[in-house]
Amino acid sequence: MKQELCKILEQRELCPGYFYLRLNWETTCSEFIPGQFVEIKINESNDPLLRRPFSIFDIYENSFVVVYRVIGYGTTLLSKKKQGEYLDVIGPLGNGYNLEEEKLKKEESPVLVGGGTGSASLYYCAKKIISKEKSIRVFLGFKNTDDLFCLKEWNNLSVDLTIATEDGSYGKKGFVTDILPLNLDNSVIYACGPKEMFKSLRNRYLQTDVFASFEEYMACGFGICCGCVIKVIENNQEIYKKVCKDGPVFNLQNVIL
Amino acid sequence: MEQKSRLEISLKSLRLKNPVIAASGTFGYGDEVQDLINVSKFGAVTTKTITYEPRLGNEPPRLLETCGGLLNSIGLQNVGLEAFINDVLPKWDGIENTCLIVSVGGDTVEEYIRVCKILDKFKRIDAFELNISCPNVKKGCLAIGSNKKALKKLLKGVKKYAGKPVIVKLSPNFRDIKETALYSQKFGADILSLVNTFIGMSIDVDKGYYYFKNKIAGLSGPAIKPLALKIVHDVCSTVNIPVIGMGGIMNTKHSLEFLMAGAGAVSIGTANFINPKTIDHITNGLEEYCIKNNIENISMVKIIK
Repeated sequence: MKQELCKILEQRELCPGYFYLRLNWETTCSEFIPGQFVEIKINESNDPLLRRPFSIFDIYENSFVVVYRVIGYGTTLLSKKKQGEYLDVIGPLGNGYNLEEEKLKKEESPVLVGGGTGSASLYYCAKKIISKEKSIRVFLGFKNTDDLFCLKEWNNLSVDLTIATEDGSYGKKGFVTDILPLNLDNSVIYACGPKEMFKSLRNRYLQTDVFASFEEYMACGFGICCGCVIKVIENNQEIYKKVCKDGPVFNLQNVIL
Repeated sequence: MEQKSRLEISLKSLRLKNPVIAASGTFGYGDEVQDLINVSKFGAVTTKTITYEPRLGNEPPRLLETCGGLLNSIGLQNVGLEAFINDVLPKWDGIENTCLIVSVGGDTVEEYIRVCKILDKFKRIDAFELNISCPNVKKGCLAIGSNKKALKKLLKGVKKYAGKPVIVKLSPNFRDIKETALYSQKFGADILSLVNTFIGMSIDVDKGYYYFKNKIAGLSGPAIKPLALKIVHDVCSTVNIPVIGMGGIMNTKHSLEFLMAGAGAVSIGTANFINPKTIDHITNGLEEYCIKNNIENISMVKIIK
C-alpha cells in the first residue's frame, strides 16, 4: 500500500447521485486485486476529518476508477471535485476476492451477486475472472431504474447478466436474491451488498463458498485503529476481525451476521 | 536514519532521537504499516494497551466522526501478554533507534503489576506507560486513575518490580487532573503523558438510542486541541517531572504549542490515521524551526508560563 497525491483524470455523473471517478496512480495498478479499496482524503483541511473508503471499480495501467453514490457530507464534497484537481489517496487496501484457481475451478461457472452500490465492487472482479477465460453469471439488484448506475459498463462485458429492480421498472421484479438459481452447490459466489442480502445468501447456499465484501465505518483504513471490526468464528472462538485489513472480503461461513 | 541532534531529547533516563511519539492505540504494535509509515521515524512508539489476557474489545459501532474530531469506543482490543511477547516483541529487534513504550492496562492493580513485572526483563522495552485513563472499559483504567489509593498501590507496586521508566497517562476526565499529576509524581511516576480522550457521546436520532453500546466514547482529534493544551500547560507548571503532551496535534505548529506549554515531547495519535506522513512533516518542521530560530536543541524552546 502507498500514499499518493492523485490527479483527477475524469469525474462524471453516471446517473443522478452516482459518480465515476478516475484517478492517476504513479506506480502500476496491476498490483491492485479485485475487491480492494482506497482511502481518499476529501479535502486538504481537517474537514471532513476522516478519509472515506471506496471500492476499486476498474483499473488501467496508471489509473484506477472508483464508482460511488453521494450519501453524506464527504461524498457530497467529493462529487464537486473537478478534473485536474488532486486527491490524497492511500491504497490499495484490504484482501480482495479469493480468485484462486481451486475456488474458481468448480463444475459450474462462478456467480457474482451485487446489491445496489455493492455492484461496483464486483466489476473489476468480473473482468479478472473473464481474463482467466472463465464464464460467469452476474446477478445485480437495484431499487429502480434511477439506480442502474453501471448498466452500460456491465453490458460492455460479455457476461450472462440478470437484473432485478424492487419495483419491477427494469428487469425482473424483486430483490437480487429472488433471481438467483436454486442450487449453487457446484459453484462459488462473490457478493457485495447489504447485510440482509448476505444473510439470505448464507442461509440459502449452505454448501457453497460465498466470498462477501463487507463495509464498516473506518478511521484509518489500514489496520491500526481496530475500529472497523466484524465478529467471526475462528478456531471455534468468536473474535473480531478488521474489515480494512483482514477483509473486506470474508467467507460468509465464518461471519456472525 | 540520520541522527538529528537538534531534536534529540531526554525524558529523565529515556533518551529519544526526536520528541515525537506515536500515541497508544493509534499505531497498533508498531510493525503493521511499514509500507505507509516508517516506525523508525518516531522518537518512540507507544503500543496498543496490553492486558494480561487477550481482549476482544467493544461491540461495534466503535467509531464516529465529529466536527474536527473522532469518537472512539474500541475497548482495549489487544492480543494479550503472551502473544505480545511471542509475536510482537521479536519484530522490534530489527528496529533500532526508536524507543518502545509498552502501554499496560488491566481490570485490577494486580494485573498491571503482573504485566509490568513479566515485561520488565525484556531489554528491548524502554519504558511502560500505565493506562489509567481509557474511558471505554468498565473496570480498571479510569477507575484506577480516579482513585488515589488505587493509584498509590499501582505505582508503588510497579516501581517495586519494574526497573524501567514508568510513564503515567492521565485523563482530562479526572475530577482534578493537577492533583492526580502531583500524586503520580509523589508515588513514583517518572514521566507523565496527557491527555487521553475526553468522554463524549452521540445519539442516533433514527434509532432513538445511544450510538455507542457503552453509551459514552472518547473524543480525540483537532477539536480537543485547545482543551488539551490548556491542561498540559497547567500540569507542566504543577509538576517537576517531564510531561509528554498530546491532544489533537496535527502539525509542526501544534507540536510547538505543546512544547512551549512545557511538554518535553509530544505524541501524535489521530493524526496518524488522517495523514501517515505527519511524522515526517513534524520532525522536518521542528528541525527547520530550530535552524531558523538559532536554537541548538528543541528542548531549549521558550516555555510560556
